Amino acid sequence: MIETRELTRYFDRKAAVQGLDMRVEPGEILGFLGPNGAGKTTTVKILTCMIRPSQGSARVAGFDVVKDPMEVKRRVGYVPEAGAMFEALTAREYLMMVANLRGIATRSAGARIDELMGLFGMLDSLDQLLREHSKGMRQKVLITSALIGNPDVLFLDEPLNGLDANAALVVKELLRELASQGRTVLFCSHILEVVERICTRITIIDGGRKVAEGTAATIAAETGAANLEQAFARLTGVRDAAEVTRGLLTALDADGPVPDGPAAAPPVDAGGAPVSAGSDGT
Amino acid sequence: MIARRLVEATGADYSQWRVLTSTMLKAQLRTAKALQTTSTEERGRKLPWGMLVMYGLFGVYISIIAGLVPGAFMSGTVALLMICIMIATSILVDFQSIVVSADDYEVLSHQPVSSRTYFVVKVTSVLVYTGTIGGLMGGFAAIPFLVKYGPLVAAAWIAALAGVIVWTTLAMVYLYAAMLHLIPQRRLRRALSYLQLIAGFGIFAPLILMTYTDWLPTTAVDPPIQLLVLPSTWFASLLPLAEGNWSASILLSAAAALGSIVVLVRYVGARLSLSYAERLGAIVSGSTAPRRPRVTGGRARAWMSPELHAVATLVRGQFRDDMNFRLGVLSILPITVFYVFMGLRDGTLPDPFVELGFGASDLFLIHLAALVLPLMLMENLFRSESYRAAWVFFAAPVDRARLVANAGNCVTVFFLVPYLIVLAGVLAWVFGHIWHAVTHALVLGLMAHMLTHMTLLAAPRLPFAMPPRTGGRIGSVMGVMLVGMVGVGLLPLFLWLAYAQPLNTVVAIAALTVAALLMPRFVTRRVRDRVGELEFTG
Repeated sequence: MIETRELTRYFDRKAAVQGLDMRVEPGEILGFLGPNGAGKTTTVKILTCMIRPSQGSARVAGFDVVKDPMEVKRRVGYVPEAGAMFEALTAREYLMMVANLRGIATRSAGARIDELMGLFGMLDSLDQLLREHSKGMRQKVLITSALIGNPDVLFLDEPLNGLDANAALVVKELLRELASQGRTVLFCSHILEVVERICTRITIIDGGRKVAEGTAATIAAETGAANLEQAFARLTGVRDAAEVTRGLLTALDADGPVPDGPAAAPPVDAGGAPVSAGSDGT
Repeated sequence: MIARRLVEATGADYSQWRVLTSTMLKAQLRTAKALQTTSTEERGRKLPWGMLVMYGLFGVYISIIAGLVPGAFMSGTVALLMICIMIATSILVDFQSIVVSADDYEVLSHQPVSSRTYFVVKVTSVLVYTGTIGGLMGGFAAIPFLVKYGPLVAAAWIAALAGVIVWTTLAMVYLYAAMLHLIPQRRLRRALSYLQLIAGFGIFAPLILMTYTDWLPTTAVDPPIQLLVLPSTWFASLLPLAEGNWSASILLSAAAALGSIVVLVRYVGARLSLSYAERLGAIVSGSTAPRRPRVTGGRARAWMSPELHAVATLVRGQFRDDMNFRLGVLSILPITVFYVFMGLRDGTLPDPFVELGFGASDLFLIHLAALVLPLMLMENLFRSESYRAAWVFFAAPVDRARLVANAGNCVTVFFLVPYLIVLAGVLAWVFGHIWHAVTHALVLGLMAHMLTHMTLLAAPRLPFAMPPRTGGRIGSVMGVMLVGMVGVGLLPLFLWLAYAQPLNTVVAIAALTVAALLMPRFVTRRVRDRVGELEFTG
């Protein structure tokens, strides 16, 4: 079970999450939605004890995230959105390291790794470096690392990222099955169709605050929208998509034709993002 | 505008050069943070002050030497040689990530950036670093030259200093670039490691050469003939020229200095291109054959705690495939081997059980190598490009304080123990007494183990959980050396007490063993609160 009361987290005096009340019962799959920067990942990080709340409280699997973080972590599996891994390790080494960190005996961990990765069709890639894995393969490793401790509560932040259709199908079916066994699942995603299909209930947050809660049908009905997608757009203040597209096309036209020669080409920063010529380059 | 003309004269695009250079420098200086406490955190760019202070202190030391050694030519030779070696070491230890930056190709290959522009940007960004540290190391020495020989010689010193900085930088860049062209792609990773090791030894060769001539000469005003083979001597010849000494050998030496820079610029320009970056990218992203699964159960688990096992897995993987970590570790070995070599140079070393206390002070360099190596290794263990992956330490139900302590244990078990076994062999040969050698190596090992944990006590850190910081490593290494030297200087006092009587030795070893065994537990308890406060924000 997951329960939060007045959960709040500030970063440099700016509230990322503000007064969030939420309750997810065992056997539920809660779709946790919000636009970029709404506070989803911050909430999940608090619930997985990676960061502490500034105010309010949260309990996961019956334990307080501030008072009993270790008990919470023992019962939780987490697939983060960014999903950074030590890429100099092989998938097997990484999963074994996670198992060691969770205190799972090496032999049983080895068997579990083989079993779970076998289900994803990844046995051949177990001894390849993570650096050499595709995005989808890494995602499978991350999902396996979340399941390796047989958790009561699962936090999945965009778990279907990069997965092929077959693997995505397996994960969705797996989530339903885990929920039917009485486990609690919190599922963050931007793909509303998937959320609508697999989640038993949905919470939408925006600007760190909860703006809607219920089933997809009740949320749509309450906002007077035809479906969840429309309801989400209304609740999170996004303008009409067609209007935004028209604006983007107008802006592109206003920039004029592509200039000649390398001197006029857009400079880039270290991460490959465009940098304006007059800026400091960061 | 001079900068524009200079850049365009090289065939590079000026506006791209300006943007890319400033972006690269800012990105290197940016202090990314994955971990923070709940209190306010510092953000943004920050100068590596520790590193700058260290180089500044070294600069004061060089200026004192320049003032003590007689003759402008000789003192210039000695000072420039030290600066040359320090710059080369800095590139090897700290700035190779700028030269060997595999990300460049991924970021720039699809942009309309020419190879020529890439080359000029690359050389500029390395030169900014080497120019800064070289300026700090050599700037102070201008004062003794000004006072002793006048403004013309001081100006010649500054020109010679600039020449040595450019020469050393280009030579190191050429070394890496030539290697990438010559070695087949599948062997590059291993070859680059060997290069690091060989270059690490190579840059100490001139120091060894000097010790065989007359280290810090007090009478000779001109360098001995052997030193004329060194580029630093060529640049030092500008000083006697400024004094009005226009002999043929000095003119030839000065011509060699200028000529070698022209040759290096040409060769580096031909080697350093985007295809160079492409080959580097291939090392990082290139596919390798699947590895044989390691048997990690049974015996391995019998003596390793889960935390040590996790840290060991991580360290082994990072050493095998994280080029920066691997090169960082490999750059340390030559320093310690050099100290051992210098310590053994005369072939005779006092047995500390026979020559008690300060009577065995000739062991100073050996002690420094033994006690400082693990500390320098520790400095490599915490920063990594993969620091964002450290979220796993925060999401897993693991005692982070135990992870911190096991980082120290990992260094002891996998680096210090093999190193001390070799050292015990060397000491047995030198002392001619195997038990004295083994006992002494054991005492040094126990002390080194405790020192590694003391650094963790002072600054508890999780393995590979901090973002890399350009220049930080050499600053830390120099700081560790400085503190290490003070500690090692006091070591004979302890040895005098411990080795005076066999009973004292037994008691000392027993006490050290108990302390060494308890140390990880002590560290775990003491750092628990501080590490527990950390949050993962990467």
